[in-house]
Amino acid sequence: MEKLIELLEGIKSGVDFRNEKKLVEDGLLDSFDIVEIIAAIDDEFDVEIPVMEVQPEAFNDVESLYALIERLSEE
Amino acid sequence: MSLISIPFMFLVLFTCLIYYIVPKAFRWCILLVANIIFYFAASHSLIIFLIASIISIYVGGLFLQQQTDYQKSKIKTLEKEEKKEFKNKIKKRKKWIVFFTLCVNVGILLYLKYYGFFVGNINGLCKVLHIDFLIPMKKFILPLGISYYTLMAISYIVDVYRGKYKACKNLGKVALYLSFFPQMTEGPISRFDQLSDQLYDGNHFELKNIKTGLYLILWGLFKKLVIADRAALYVNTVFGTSSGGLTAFLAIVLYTFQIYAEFSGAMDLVRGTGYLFGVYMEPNFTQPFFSKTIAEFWRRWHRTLGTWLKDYVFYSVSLSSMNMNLNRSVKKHIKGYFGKFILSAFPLFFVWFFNGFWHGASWKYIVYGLYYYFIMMLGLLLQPYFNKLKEQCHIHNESKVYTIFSVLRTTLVVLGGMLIFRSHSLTDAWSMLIRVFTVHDFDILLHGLTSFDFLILILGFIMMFIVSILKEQKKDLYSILDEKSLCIRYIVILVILFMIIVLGIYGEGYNASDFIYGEF
Repeated sequence: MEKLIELLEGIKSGVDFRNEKKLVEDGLLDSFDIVEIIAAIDDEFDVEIPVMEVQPEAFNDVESLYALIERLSEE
Repeated sequence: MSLISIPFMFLVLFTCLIYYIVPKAFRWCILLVANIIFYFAASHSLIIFLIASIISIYVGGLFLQQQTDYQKSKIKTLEKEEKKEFKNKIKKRKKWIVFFTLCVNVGILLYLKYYGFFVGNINGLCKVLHIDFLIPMKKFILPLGISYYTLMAISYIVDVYRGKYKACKNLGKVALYLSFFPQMTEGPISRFDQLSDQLYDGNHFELKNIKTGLYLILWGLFKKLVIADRAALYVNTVFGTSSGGLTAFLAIVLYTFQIYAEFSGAMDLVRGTGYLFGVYMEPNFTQPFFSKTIAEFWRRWHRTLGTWLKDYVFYSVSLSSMNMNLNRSVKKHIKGYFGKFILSAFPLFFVWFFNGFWHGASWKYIVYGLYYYFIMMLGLLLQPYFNKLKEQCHIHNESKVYTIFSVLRTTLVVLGGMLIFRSHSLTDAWSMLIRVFTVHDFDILLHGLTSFDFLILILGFIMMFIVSILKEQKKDLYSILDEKSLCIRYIVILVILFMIIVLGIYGEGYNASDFIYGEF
């Protein structure tokens, strides 16, 4: 989880990733950030997030995103 | 059959009556019958193209679902290595199904809407290169709403492929989704998961829905007949002539006002009709002229097209292996902000190209889309410098003066876009722009509108502005009106109704069915 938070902070500084629960809904992350996050996750975690998993719910908070990475890496 | 016509009014009225009389389980069938009557009356034999789209996504959806179910049942029995291979095999099969379904839908659209464009360009190129080759030109009548329902068909098949929801097993229900009659003329481009339950479950009769629907219809009629059609009198007289100066500038402003009043008015009519059946459709406009940037403007203007392009073009291109490889390569070689800029530029090009091309089969529309692309890219490129400048000048983003400046700047850019959109050709647009600055022409009363008409337009503008401010403050106008005494409610409704009847533009040679966005 810490690795993911570091990665997110590297992409978008100034956002409280630990506590924010509506990153997409509140406009803290836009579609460009999401694409950058997906590319970084692919590099750092070796997990490819397919387009069908790009739903606001998965990117709204760090826990959901981490759960998605874990699920995809198990698959 | 137009959205503003007596037959349409009767169709809505009778469908509504029968809808709430029949048992809930059959209500979706009533809507389907209404769709068939509406579409057949509007497009006659061209209904065949709609049927082809319905059948293609129905069959394609079922095949995709079959593959997904097969994968789910089989995968449990496989070892890890076999799983990967098996998943790839299924994925490949599903891609082929999507490809064939898209070929049918996009193929019909390309052939009917873009044949002339492609053939014209090929023939033109051959002529320039002195090649003796000529493809005969054909012109087709477009089936009503083909540009809208094709996007809905694509979203259905791609979403089933992506596993967002399961394929619908009932052909009639798929047909109902793709042909829901209020939205056939101008959208909104609804998604299956937004509409399906509302269309299929059979909604209860609720007085609140009926009232909201009627308020929306009334407001939509006011915007279309009193404002948009009045502004059109001036716009149609000035565009295409050699007018310049203030006369031409006012024509651009009034056209922007016209298209907004007309398209958002049509959406009010459509959504209002939907409410009569208890069906909620996404709003297509959320006060676009309060936008501070062009990106924000397009999140508020024709929203269902914007979200469609984001979901099916932007993400598809951005997450493609080609873009991911580009991403890695750019990150390695170009550090910092410029790297980010390049990564945004690639997928956005496709988004804006499709946006323009969807609007019409000509270079003018492609340039219209790329005009916004260029402005956005320029803004993105210069953003760090603007930020530095703002810091040095102590300008705060949230300050009122800066907000007003940003809104005006965005509106000016939109006026430029509307000039391209309305002009007959790019050359016409350019020469009109030049004339705005070089010709002294202040005779605005010589072009189809009297000073009384201008007064009505200003009044309409003020009314729309107040409504927009209230909506921006998240106030539910219809609830506010509903809470007022019966007397006040009737006065408001009667005043608007009176204005529509007395001040609406009717008469010989005029056809209220001419919605600009209905042509796409």
